[in-house]
Amino acid sequence: MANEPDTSLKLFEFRDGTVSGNTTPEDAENFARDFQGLRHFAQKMGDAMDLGDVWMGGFREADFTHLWSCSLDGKSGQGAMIGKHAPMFELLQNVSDDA
Amino acid sequence: MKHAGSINGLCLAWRRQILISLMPFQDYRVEQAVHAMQEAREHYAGGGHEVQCFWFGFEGVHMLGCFHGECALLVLHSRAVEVDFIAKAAAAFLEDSQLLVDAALNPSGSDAQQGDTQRLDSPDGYGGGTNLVPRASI
Repeated sequence: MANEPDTSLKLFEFRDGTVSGNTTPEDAENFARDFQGLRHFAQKMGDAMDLGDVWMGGFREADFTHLWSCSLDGKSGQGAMIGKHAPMFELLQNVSDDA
Repeated sequence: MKHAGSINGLCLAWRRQILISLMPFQDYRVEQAVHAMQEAREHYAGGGHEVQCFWFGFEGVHMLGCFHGECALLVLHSRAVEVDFIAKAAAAFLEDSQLLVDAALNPSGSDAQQGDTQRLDSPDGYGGGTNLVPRASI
């Protein structure tokens, strides 16, 4: 059961401002908006403590999880959204080979 | 919480106010990070997202921010694989620390009634000096 793919899982790839994925344009737009917002706030938090550039980020709600990993300049990367409270490390492994 | 994995720093905050900081940074830096985290939470709340936690990866360290009501716990940790365990521990910690937070925010709001306590300088003979028990009487 645990190995069955979740139908609410949506995967994305982005490069130079273009998001592609196995989903609708609306999902891609939502993903892009959340990615940009998260990266902005993550950079702000990182700058406060001199932690360097952000390469991964995400948030989790009771029934939704969003996560991405990207290059240090933020121009390319992969991301995922899933309609449940998902383990974040598992999701990170889905979107990154470096975890 | 300090021993819940490869934790490098912890900060408990209420709204934008730091209650406890065990971060290896000066307080003003921690405050800036907490402000940015609360700003992010408010930003996403405006878009209909009730964020329970944020998680970010930097060069060599990860930052996890967990929320419970108006309280937030900011955690720096090294190993990505521990994030879900730490998030669970943080949620339990935030749940359990609500009384502590309430006491820290309302130090005068004690539940004790006046009759429950006795002033040390009361005129019943016990106020004033130290009571010495002579060695011979032991």
